[in-house]
Amino acid sequence: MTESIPRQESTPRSNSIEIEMSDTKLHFITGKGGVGKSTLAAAFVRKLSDLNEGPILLIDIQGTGHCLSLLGAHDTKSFEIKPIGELNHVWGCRIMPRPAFRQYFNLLLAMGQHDSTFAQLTSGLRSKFVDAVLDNKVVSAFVDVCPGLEPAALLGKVHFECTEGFAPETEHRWKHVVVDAPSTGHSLMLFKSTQALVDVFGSGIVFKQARSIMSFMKDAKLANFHIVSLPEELPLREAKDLSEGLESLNLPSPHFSINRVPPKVRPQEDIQNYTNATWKNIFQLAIEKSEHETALISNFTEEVGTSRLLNLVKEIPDLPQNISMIVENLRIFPTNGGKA
Amino acid sequence: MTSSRSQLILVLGAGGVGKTSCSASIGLGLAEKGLKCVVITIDPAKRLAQALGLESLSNEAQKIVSHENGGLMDALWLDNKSAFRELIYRKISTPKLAETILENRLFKIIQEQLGGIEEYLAVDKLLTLGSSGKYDVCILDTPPSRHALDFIESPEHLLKFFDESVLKLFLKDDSDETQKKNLWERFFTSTKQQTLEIFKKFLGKGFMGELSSLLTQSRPVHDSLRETAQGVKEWVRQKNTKSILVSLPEDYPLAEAHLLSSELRAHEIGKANLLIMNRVLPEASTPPYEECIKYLGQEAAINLIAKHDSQQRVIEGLEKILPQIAAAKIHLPPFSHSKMDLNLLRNLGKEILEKWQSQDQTYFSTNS
Repeated sequence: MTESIPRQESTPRSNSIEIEMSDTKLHFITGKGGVGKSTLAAAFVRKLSDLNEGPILLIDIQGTGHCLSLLGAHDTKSFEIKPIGELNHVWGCRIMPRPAFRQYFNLLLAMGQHDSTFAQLTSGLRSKFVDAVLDNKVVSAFVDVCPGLEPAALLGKVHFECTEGFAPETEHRWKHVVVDAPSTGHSLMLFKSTQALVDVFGSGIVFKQARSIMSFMKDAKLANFHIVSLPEELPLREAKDLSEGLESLNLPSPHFSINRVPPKVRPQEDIQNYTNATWKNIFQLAIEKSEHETALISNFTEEVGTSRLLNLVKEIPDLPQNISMIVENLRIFPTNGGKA
Repeated sequence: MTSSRSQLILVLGAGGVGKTSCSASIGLGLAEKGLKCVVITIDPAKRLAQALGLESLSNEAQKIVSHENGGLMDALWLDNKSAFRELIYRKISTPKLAETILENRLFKIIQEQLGGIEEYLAVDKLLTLGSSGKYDVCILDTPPSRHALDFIESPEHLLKFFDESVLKLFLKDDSDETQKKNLWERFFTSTKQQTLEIFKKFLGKGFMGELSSLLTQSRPVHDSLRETAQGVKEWVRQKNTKSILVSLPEDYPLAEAHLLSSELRAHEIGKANLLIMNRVLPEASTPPYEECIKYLGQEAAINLIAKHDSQQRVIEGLEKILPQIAAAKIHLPPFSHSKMDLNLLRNLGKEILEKWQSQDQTYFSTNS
């Protein structure tokens, strides 16, 4: 474990204090597979960086590091926090269940949550100890199958960075933590499992942690949820279902960004006059698509309320490579000015 | 047992590429040829469900078409929301024990955590239909996921949660001895037992107790899961299983298709039989610029031209990697969703089967 872990002089009690000492904002970005979550997450980070809102940490949960590569990170596979490309005050890392659990277990021991003697070990010795425990065949097989541990570790790592994490080699806490989260159902599962740990168990270290993770996530001043969708039937339905799922856990109401919104069609002449059958058909489809999707967006807006629709991102072919084209008009908070 | 099962067609791809439409079309096409097919889908778009006449979720296959030559197509729109309780009740003979398991608090977490449950239910249903002797072909419209083939492993995945070997080993020997030793003793004599103890304390007593009772209660589920796991694995690897990848001529869905093709290989199913490139714009010419602007307006025109360019680039790039991905490839044109009906799907099915056959003589053979 080479990641630096800030040591607090006196270990705070875990359940209540972190909210006062933190103004790190979490942005949790999710949505159906293929809607452009990584693109939007990268654009969010770029926007925050342009606004001088550093230091910013971008975390890719269970992803391939795509969002990191969109920002020009040299190392897109690392589980360690590393600076990203030429951007100012931006760091990034990936997290996966297994390494996250290892890191998290280590962090808890470092914080003296289990047994104060562990906190006094040097980090090298403690890592060795963590390795000894987790590499034990039985423990390792157990962590693999044991309900609730991996989701709690993934969110636990995010929570740790939000409440106690520092930008490496600085004395600055993160100002923003942006999470490129797994797709809809899987993201909801992370929260449901962690909440289930809270509901089910009243005591134990893991369960205290689960409680403090969830209480952070439920604070609308700190945690922001963003759902990315496409102007199509299934992704919009899934976005709405996810939003209801998050709300049923008492998490803050998410905001929506709709990606790949087709441009308005403004014909100068009636398409019926056109004689080339092949392209006439294609043009008609483009017109139909634009009208259909415009209608879907306006229905959706009506259902969720205008204030929760944060961004309409125009359809731009090859967008992932061109995120600067959407950064300028991107809104991060509903009150941020800018235009959708 | 194996030989009595239907032939399986797996349809795979990223979300929103038209997997369900392709699945239904192929089913309709095969039905016309006189085969008995069933299409199993999880979440069809509204228009498609309407086109097929599927009005609601159901756990029974519904009749879509039947022909005089004996061919037919049924469709099953799987309801996975409430089915899990049913499954437990079905697998466990005494309702009281089923109730106890469902109420185990850890089990509730398992339910949340296990993404595989939906897939498992689909697999369970699939196996029932495939072994019923009613169908020549089962077409499975897989859930849109990077690991779409996880469904094959889902019974095993579920099984892991109930696997006694790991958990039993973990739960036994609850001695308090280790606690009396000091840290350094614990550290340097970090035997298996001691690391276990520390970890158990880390989790807490309540958790361990709950786990222990879940394990005892769920024994009956265990055997049944093992059976399903074995059955599905054999079936999927039957020689006559076909796999079809569906993609759009865009980077993301094609990258997903590429990943899925390596998943197919990893699951010993082999290279995909067919890659369907859906919604391909006319390739021969570039969009006529002047007319684009005239009939669409500047902004939409630029967008369409850029999209056409980008599609051409993707399709050209595909030629190099195609041999790794699939044995055959066909292009389908975009079509209007408002015109989606049974007739359109049937024609689409014919087109798919004809184009596929022209590239692959063995494209469809019912012999196993």
